Amino acid sequence: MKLVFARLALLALVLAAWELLPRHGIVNPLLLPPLSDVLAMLGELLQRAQVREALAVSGAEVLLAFIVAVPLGAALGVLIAENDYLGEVFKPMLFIVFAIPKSIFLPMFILVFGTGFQQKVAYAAFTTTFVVLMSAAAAVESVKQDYLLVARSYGATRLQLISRVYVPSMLPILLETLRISMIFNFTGVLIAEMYASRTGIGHMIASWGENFQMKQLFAGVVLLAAAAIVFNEAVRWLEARVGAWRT
Amino acid sequence: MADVMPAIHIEGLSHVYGGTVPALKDISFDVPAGRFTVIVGPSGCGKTSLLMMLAGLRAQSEGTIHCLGRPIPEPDPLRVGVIFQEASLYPWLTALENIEFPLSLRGGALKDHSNRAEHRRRAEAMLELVGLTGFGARYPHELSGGMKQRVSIARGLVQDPPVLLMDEPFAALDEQTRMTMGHELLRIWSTTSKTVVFVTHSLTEAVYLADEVLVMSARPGRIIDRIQVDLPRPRNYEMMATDVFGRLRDRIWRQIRKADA
Repeated sequence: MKLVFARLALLALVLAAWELLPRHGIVNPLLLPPLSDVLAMLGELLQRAQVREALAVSGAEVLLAFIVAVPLGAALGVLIAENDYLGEVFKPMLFIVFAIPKSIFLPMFILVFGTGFQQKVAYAAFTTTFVVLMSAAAAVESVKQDYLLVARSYGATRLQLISRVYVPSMLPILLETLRISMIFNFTGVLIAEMYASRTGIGHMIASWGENFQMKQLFAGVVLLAAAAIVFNEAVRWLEARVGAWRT
Repeated sequence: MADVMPAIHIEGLSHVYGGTVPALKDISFDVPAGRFTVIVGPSGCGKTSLLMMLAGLRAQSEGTIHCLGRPIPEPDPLRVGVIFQEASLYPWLTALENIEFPLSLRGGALKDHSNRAEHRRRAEAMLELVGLTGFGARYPHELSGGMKQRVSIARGLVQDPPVLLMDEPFAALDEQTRMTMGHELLRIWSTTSKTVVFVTHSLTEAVYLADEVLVMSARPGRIIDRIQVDLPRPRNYEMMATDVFGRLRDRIWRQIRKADA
């Protein structure tokens, strides 16, 4: 309880500093506008059709990339974890490719897909698939052989092995995968939008920055941060509920 | 006729791993119904493999295994229950749910309410049998090593199989808990009249628990000695200090050393 209080106090301190330092000229308000101004701007931006459209486009990109990348990555991950031969062949290369910063492939994606909607989805799905693949493989490998042996000794069918052993055993790691993959996915879309685009919230933030519109810039940052935090915390809450046995 | 039929009948059992590594060689023995048989032998002699074959979890290369008069080509939990080491409890299930797990695998069980109530009742009876009444809602990580093993035993007993196979169930426990659990196991066994085949590394445990000890050689595993333990039942800790106990233990030890050489 005391800890919660200290954490809230820290949050209040940061927000208060954000409001008061620029307000009193201790920090240049042109570089960091006061919090209340930023929030007022956020309210105003959300009224604008252009901003709403950009948000809708980015939201659709994020969602679509997620829908493509998660099942694809999960299927590939399960495949290399379940099949020893494929695992031995593919894993070393995947580990090496995983280490490469994916953003250096952006120019290639632009050449292939242009600078529109498809390119954002393709690039974000590409970066996310790797993360999901690695985590899904790790999740399958985390299922202890003993757990399977026990179920088989009690006559479990193949389907029961999956539903009663694999799934509950992997669930906490799968949720964690979902959470982390969303971070990568979100980042992928925003990076692609900031790099080359005509619409999307990432593009708007980049151009506000270039035009020195700091209130708008920070309003965008607050909005995206809030969206990311809400998703992250929602999945973490689920994780804690289904993963209480993991200690 | 049925009375004289052994619970387990093994004849000419051999096994070769991957077509080249001989693991078990020409093993034959019977276990009469209701007897407590312990298998000991050097590490890697194939004790666990033998147990897996008895459970129908692994196929042998050659020979016959009959369990209650019939072969056991695949796991048959109503004939044979297996009790593994402590790490085999499902950490995402409570103690009671772990015990219910074998029952819940049987067809249609989840939908049928009266069935579910019956499962719960049986699982609770098992929990009581192993002395854990009141601990049913705990998760494995909230239980001590000995308690986890009690849950494991309850899970093995819940379908009331006539034959119980135990693969070094107390290996992960400390010495004191191990002795207590051995004693507890004998108490539970005496109330259920199961046929038990128990694999262990501990010679003291072997003599303390067994009606008969089978000694296996190093790979390829063979049965090199069968030692009858004629200590009276119920067993108690004082027996360990007796000459008879010491002589039996010593004989097993000498056989294992010979087998390992």
